[in-house]
Amino acid sequence: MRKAISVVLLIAFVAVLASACAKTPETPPVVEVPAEPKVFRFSDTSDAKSLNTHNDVNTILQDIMLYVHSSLYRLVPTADGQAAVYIGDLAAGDPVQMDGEGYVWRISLREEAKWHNGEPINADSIMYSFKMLIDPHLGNAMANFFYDREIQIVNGFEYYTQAQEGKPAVAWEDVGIKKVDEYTIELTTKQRYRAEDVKRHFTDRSLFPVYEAMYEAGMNTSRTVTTYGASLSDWMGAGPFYFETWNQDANRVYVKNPDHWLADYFHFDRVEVRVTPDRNARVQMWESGELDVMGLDSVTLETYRDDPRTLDYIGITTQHIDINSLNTKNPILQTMNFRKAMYWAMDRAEIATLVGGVPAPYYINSQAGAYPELGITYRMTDAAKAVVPANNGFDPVKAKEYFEAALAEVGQTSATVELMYSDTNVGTRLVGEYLQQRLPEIFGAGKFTMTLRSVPSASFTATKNFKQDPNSFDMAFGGWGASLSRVYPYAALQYFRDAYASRPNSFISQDFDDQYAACTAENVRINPDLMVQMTAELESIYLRDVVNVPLYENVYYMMYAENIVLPVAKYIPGLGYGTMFSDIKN
Amino acid sequence: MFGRYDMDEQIRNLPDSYFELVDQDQLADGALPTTPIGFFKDAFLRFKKNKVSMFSFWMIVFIIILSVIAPFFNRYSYVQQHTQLRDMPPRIPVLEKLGIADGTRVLTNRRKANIENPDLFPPASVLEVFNHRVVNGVEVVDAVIDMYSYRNAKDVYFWFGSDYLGRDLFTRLFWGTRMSLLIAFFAVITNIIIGTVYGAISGYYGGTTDMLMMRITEILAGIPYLVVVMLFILLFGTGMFSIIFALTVTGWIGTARLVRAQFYRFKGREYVLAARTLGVPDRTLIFRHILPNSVGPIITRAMIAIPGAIFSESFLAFIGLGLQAPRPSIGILLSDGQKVLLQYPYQTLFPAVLISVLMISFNLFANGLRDSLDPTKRGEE
Amino acid sequence: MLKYIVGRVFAMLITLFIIVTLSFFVIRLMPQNIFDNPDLPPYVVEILEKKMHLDKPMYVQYYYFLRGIFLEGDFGTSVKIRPSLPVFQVLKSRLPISMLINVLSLFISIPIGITAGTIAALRKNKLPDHAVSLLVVLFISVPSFVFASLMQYGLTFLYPIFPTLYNPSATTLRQLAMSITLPVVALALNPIATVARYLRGELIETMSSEFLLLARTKGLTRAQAVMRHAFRNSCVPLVNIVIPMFTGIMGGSLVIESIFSIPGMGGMMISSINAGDHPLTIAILIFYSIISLVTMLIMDISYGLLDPRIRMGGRR
Repeated sequence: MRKAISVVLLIAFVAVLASACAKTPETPPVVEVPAEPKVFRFSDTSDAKSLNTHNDVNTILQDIMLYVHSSLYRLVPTADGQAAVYIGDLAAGDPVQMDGEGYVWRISLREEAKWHNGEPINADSIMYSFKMLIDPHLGNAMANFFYDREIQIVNGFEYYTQAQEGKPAVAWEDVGIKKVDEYTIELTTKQRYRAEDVKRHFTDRSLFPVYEAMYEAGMNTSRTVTTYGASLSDWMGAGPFYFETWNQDANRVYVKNPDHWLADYFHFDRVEVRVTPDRNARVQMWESGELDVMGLDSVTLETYRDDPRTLDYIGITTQHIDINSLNTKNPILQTMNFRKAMYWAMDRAEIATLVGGVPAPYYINSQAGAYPELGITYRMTDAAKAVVPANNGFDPVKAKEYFEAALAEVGQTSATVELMYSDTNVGTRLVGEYLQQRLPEIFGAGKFTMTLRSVPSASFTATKNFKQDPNSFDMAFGGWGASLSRVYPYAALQYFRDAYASRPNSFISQDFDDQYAACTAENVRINPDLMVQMTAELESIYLRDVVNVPLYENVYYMMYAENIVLPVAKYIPGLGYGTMFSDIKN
Repeated sequence: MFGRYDMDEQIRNLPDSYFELVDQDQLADGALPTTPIGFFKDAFLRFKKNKVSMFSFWMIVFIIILSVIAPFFNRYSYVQQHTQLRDMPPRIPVLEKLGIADGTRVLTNRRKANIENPDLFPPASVLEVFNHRVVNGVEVVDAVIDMYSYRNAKDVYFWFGSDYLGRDLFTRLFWGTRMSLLIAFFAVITNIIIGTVYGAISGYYGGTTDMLMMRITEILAGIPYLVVVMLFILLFGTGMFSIIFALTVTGWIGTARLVRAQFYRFKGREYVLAARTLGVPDRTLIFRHILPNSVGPIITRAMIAIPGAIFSESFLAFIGLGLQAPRPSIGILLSDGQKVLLQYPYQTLFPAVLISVLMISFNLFANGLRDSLDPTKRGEE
Repeated sequence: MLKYIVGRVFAMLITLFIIVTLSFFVIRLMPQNIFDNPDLPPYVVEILEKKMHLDKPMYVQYYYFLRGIFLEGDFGTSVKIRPSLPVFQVLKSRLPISMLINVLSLFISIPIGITAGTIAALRKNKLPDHAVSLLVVLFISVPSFVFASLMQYGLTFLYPIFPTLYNPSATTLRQLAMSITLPVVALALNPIATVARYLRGELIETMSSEFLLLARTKGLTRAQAVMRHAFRNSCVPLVNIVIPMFTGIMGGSLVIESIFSIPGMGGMMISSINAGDHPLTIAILIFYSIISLVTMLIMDISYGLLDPRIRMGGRR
């Protein structure tokens, strides 16, 4: 019955749209609602490449999917605007622990959940989606998000990698996720977790269900590629907004889905997104009131930093420089003394002013939590403070000593090192040019020369691939943020372990890897005091071995139009300012 | 073809005894009363009469000299950074008294409380406060600020302002001019030489030679210019020489086509036929008799090609494939300026004015040069 | 004439084939891998490479590539820019708007440029000539991205006559026209200047030739003589610069597209080259080449029509 109603409603909706188009071609199609429709407009600097959440690593897809699609759980602001909680989206409620220990979890699905075309979403839809995500022949780039993110799912990795030579075959039935009945699934994890972990896990874009009929229709004959999500006609959502228009690299339009089970959380009737790579165009649109929110960069910041509409927050990304210790052409890069010299040579206070960031002589970000219930972050703890060196880790005398030692070690009288930056990243280019002048002053003129190399952002990570060519770069900028660090602070350093396949640093520290492994142990994770202590130890090893050279934490600035009513009282880690839950006052 | 040469041989080989001087006693011809004037001297004489062209010529020389010596006019080098004095507006000693380039800037969207806070803004630095309004319940104003006293740098003069790292834009602009001109000159000269020779051969011989040679240019021209350049730079890395090379890969084709078309136009003319009948060899025909007709268009083209090269270089800078930082070029300054056009318009203004003056000069210079090099106008006053 | 045209078309096809071959090998030799996403496990890369025949020697890959084009009309599949989508479809989605803007710019720039150039030549060294020359120099020397940004600032923000950005959801011709006016004008400035500059030079040169003197002695006014006799003559070499101009417009388009947020070929071309999406890059190259070649063919044929004395390919 419900389904029938929703189909009727959808048809009515489409009919209204169609008639609006047909009757009055002069005006853009507007859904007729009694009050003035609340239209929210913002701009992105780039667009999604495809809507196939299984295979696209671009994070912009997460923002899109939150509007137009639903996953098992969703993070929403609380009524008082002081915090954010995970509530069931496609799931009917919290996951239920089945074994009394935390290994086996059962999630029941909302029976009223349905796709935008009115078809129901049930356990089969979810299971199909997960199965395809880790399909060994599709080779989806996001597959590891299924079995190895907040929680680890039994046999996920083994199933995904079974096509590799020498690996045993794994049946889908052995993977730790099963359909119990039409509206219930059950998962088995490798370690013990809490219900919070499970809920958080199922909010990632890769775990939004795909629509089977279209996914299959887009499949090629050898079932190695699917065109699912290449355009709106090859894609189906189930979110609180219908995806009405998508002109790739130009604009996107979402229209409210009044039938959505969480519809009450959302107040916009229509969301219009423009893709504007050009800064000037963006500022003009903001100034003429065509945007309701605008992100600021280091240039526009100067104009708006003092504006009462500007809000800021420290992100979870720490900018750093990777030193390629495998480089055989430039032996000084292999020395520990050079790494230390680089660490102590960074005038982080100055660098942070240049880019509008926060000086970071450490790596674990300021959002990284320790006691979330108390609102105490890892950086606030005494253990973490003890790790951080004085003067933001800037000591030109020490730096010069280490540098001289490094020169002596390789028997050179001078060194030339290349620093690589991405052409579209304004901040790193600025810091690069700054360091190019500053470092020779510290290390001694004539002894140190730094050259700069600009690499297109599209091929930046690929150029850093030292595994293919150890001499591919000398030093390069990097910036990695791990959302998991909001709960487990040590996770901010997860990318620099040997075990992480696409790690950006060629340098390996055995102590560091061991300590990281120790941090992830169950008894550490569930004991905050121990976790802080172990994490501080991990970070001191990180600093001792200079796994990379940390520079600054990124600070993000957002401007909201005056008539936007934010759902939160302050910045909430994970949710941010809750833009999509805002209201518009007239 | 061979017959003609055989005839030549026979005529040349006639024994001397066949000939006899008619008037042995007295030469009727007097010596010429004026000194003979060569082609280029003649051109120079006519060029000198064209005042506009002379002026533009000296303008170009002036800019070239500036680009060499201007970086030494003040105490800044093109890489020297002043991180406390970033994005400063222009300030020029005498002009500042007239209210032009006086180092002031309008700061928008400031909280009134902050502008009035003497710790943040020294009272002397706030010249005018206007546009009072209330945003989100907070009083907001715009203010004209003397940036140099605000940043406590009253003794500093950045004539053309400073950039995002506090580097002096005057020094960088002329350094950039030097780089851009070097790139443009090298690229254009190479292009003109290759293009002329190629076009001349292709146009003169015609037939299969022409067909083949034109197919080659077609293949090269068929691939979009910017793609070729991008691929080239991806392959060889950014840098001055790879940019010059990249601009040369397909840059000569235009000249080649032009020269070829000129050859088609002139090779059938009566005077060429006459010269050929007289047994003038191909090389002389090409370079002596036909090519001078093309000198005018070639020079015009070269003069357009110089801004063209700077133009292409600025596109490369715009898409991040320009010279390696921190080296400036006009293109890099322009593309950096475009990015902050709304915030710091002067960062675009100065390079744009300079490149325009330079190009006006090149064009007027080229006009005069073409008129004076036109062989049909030889001896005209 | 017909024989000539058939010959030229045939030659063009051969040229195209060479370009296809060249672009295939050049792009494949670029120092980038198609599958260089570090997030992809090595064995997945192996599977994907096998699927695209990348594990075979280059000439075998070339064979598959040609077979795909000629037997199946398949130019390959985009890898990074529009993952998994056939490149033909990718081009189809991007092409119309880019071509619209580029061709419009070309079409408005030629008549305007010719008019300006003729006026300048007729009033040589007088005020109109200097005015035209000044504008020409500005348009030639200041890159279009500066003009585009200035126009955007002046005409969409200070005086909001036009919309700031291209309107992809335009439902009426008027909306569409308004939103592409600025990009088209920004793109046309340089070509206008090029044509005007060139034609002025050509006309002035032709004006000093004997046949024009004859026309004058016959009693025609200067303007009449120029329009009737010199003009057609001067248009012949003009044909030469139209082709590079068109490719120039296509190049400039990529910058203008990003400023006005137009979802065209330009931006995609840059990202495709930078990202190393080889199948897409090759397809874009081939596509642009076809356009250039067809333009060239038309120009070559019009050579003969404009000036019957010129028959290309004739013996000396």
